[in-house]
Amino acid sequence: MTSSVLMMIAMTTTAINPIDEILLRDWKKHDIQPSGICSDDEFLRRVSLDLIGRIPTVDELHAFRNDRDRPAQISRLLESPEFSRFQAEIWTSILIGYAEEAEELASRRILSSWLASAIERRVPWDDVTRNLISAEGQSAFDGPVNFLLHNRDSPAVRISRVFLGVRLDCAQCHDHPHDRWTQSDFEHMARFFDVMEFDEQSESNIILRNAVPDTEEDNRPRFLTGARPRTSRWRDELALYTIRSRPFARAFANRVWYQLFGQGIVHPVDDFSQLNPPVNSELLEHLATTARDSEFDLRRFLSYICGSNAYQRTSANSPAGRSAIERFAVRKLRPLSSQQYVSSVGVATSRIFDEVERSELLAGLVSSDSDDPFAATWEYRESVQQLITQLAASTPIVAGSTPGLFNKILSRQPTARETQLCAGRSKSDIVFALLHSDEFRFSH
Amino acid sequence: MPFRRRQFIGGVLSGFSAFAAGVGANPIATAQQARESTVKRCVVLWMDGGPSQFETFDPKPDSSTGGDVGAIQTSVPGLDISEFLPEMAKRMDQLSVVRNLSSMEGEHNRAQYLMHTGYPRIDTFPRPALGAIAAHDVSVSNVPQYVSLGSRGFGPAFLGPQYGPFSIRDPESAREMLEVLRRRRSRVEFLRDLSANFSQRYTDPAVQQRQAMIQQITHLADSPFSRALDLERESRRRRAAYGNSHFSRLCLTARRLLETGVRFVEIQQDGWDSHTNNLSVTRRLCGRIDQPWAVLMDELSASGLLDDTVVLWMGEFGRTPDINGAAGRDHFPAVSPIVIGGAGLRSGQVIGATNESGREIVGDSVGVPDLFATVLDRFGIEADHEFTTSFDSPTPATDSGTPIRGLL
Repeated sequence: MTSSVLMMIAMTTTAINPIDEILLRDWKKHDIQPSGICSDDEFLRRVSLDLIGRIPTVDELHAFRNDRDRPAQISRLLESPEFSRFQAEIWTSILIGYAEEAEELASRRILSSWLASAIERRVPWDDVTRNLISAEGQSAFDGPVNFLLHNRDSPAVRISRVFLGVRLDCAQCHDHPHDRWTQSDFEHMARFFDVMEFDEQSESNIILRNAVPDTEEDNRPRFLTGARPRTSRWRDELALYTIRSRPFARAFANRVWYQLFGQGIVHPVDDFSQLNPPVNSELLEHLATTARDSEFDLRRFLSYICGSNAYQRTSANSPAGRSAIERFAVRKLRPLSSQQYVSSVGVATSRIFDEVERSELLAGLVSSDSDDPFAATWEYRESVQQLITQLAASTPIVAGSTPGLFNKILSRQPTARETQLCAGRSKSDIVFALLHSDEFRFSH
Repeated sequence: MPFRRRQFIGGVLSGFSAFAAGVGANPIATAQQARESTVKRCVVLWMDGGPSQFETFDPKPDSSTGGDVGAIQTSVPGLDISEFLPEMAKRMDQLSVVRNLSSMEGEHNRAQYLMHTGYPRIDTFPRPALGAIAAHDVSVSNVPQYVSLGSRGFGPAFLGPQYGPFSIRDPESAREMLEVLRRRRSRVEFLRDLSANFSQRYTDPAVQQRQAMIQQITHLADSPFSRALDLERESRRRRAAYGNSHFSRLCLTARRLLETGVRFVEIQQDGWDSHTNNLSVTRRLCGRIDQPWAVLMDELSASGLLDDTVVLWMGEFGRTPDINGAAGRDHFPAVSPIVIGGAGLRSGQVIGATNESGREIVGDSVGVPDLFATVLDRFGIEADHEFTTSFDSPTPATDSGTPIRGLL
């Protein structure tokens, strides 16, 4: 594709956002054709799933079709209370994994509530991070305590992965095969947690406090940058070193980008290493700087990215090729997360699940064996068994004409061919086919 | 259409590699060529909770630690086992009792993990279950290759989700679900018709994988696998021979699945964690497994399947020689009872020994990696056979295990 054609595409789209400028240059350099901008229906479904974790209701669909104001819709979703809850769920999984383990001391619910509240109150993300790393208090009351409680065996590993994008785990056993981190780095990072003390007050309430640290030189911790704590408040200092570091800004930017695109600029998102460079450094650095300049305001950052043309590319491919998807010229198709799936089924079938029902449905979907406990990859992992169970379950009753059902379940109108195929089929057949379709199951 | 696992996997994964190469997100295991093996299957009898060796295969009636259980002779001269297992006593010539397996994991979850994967659990480095390793070696199949009856099974880790366990809590309800799908065939075909447009527009490998699975399911619903789950097809006499308990039904189901071509079946019996009332608990549970296991052995033997089927009986760990205040025995991984046979392994013998009280192993001991090496050897997989994980790390199939000498 010639550069002038690319320029034309750039001109005809609505916003010349720096993200798009950077990407256009990259696509030109690699001779990549971007896909077109997605339709309004596609946009609404996509942005609803990404920001509030569910497909749009039919009412929302009709309202948006009249309105067609994409930036306004983004704002509306960011202000919704569903936004805080959904983002809290995402981050809870990143912080303590997907599955509820047997004999789990940490409370997922309390951590998630605390996160939702922090997001609702617009607490900057570096502040949230600081609280998580330096938390003290009681697990039954203080959300962030549950983060370290769950990760008490290997806190340095999780914190490095989640907040710095570095996989120190390999360095646990031997010097990292392809990077500069050594066992010594790992040991020194781990020492920040030597002061961490847990005290079981009762079965469901564990106290986390700091002990007085060992001041002997040999036993003192050292941050990955080489910095050492200057006070006895080791974890507080670790928190500050972390949030002030450039890797923190990059890791945050990369993770949020990954949540919206299904593909990180560094991918997997917690594997920043010499052998795994960012696919577009300029983009990453720009986003990291933007995140820090906007004081890690989650909503502002999401709004910025969602407003780009890049976010609005379709996923329908001609043979798109790996490169186009990796460079964000064509949107990546990805399965709904179990939370998105359950919420969307609720919307599609007009059911409201109570907390117990929801937990049960989620438990059935999350396969803790095959899910990455670090939530760094977003793959399709349904097993044959899970599919059998879903297909064999009784089909819920959903009212509506054929177009009504398509709008309700797939958030779009049926094509002429589809209308023809559905003619003469029972409503139940149609609901079954739509609910179990790939189109429903994936975000596109 | 047969369930062409390898081809399907090859097709999907090559799509994945083109898509995600260098990304490391998709676990692709590349195995070296396994050497020839005639062994086709394995059945594991998993005694969940940790079965006491004193009341099963290493009784100590003359010791104060032996409890109140007597020992009886078996079909192997010199080998006595617990009086709670009279039927199995007649079949010990087909099996070997391993009395010197020792492990370090005394906590249930960690021990279960160790016994299923051969490695201690490290959260950042998941290991594939034995069943997954056995399953991944199969080229073409009509049926799921790793089936877990009565338990959830353990995951395939870096071998890939397609080698995960097919967990059946209850064969009857699993069969019913497949029956529902068989009746819904037309509806499922309508689903596929309607989806055709989408899967043409989006040639993403994940979509293809899902469509392929739906197709497999429609075939599974009307397949030997589904019929194997239908115990009504067995004569009443045969069903009665196995007994009436849930475990009985699982054993019969296992035999049928093995005959259908399933490579690895695990059958679970719960309840062995006898911290209280050890004697009555073990008596009851032995009573529950004795007959069905014996009939299973008989049928495998009669049909000739035993020659290429590994039979393995085990649990998380053994139990303490000293009886606690609640008349129970606590966890004792130092001595973990194992019974193994079939597949051309040497049988009718005891491997290793414990001392008079059962508090210690006398002489050499073996570890879980060695047990794994032994089973994998039957499948033609070397103990140090290298898998490649998703982060390009070569890793051996066992944790430096060597096959147990007396068994090969």
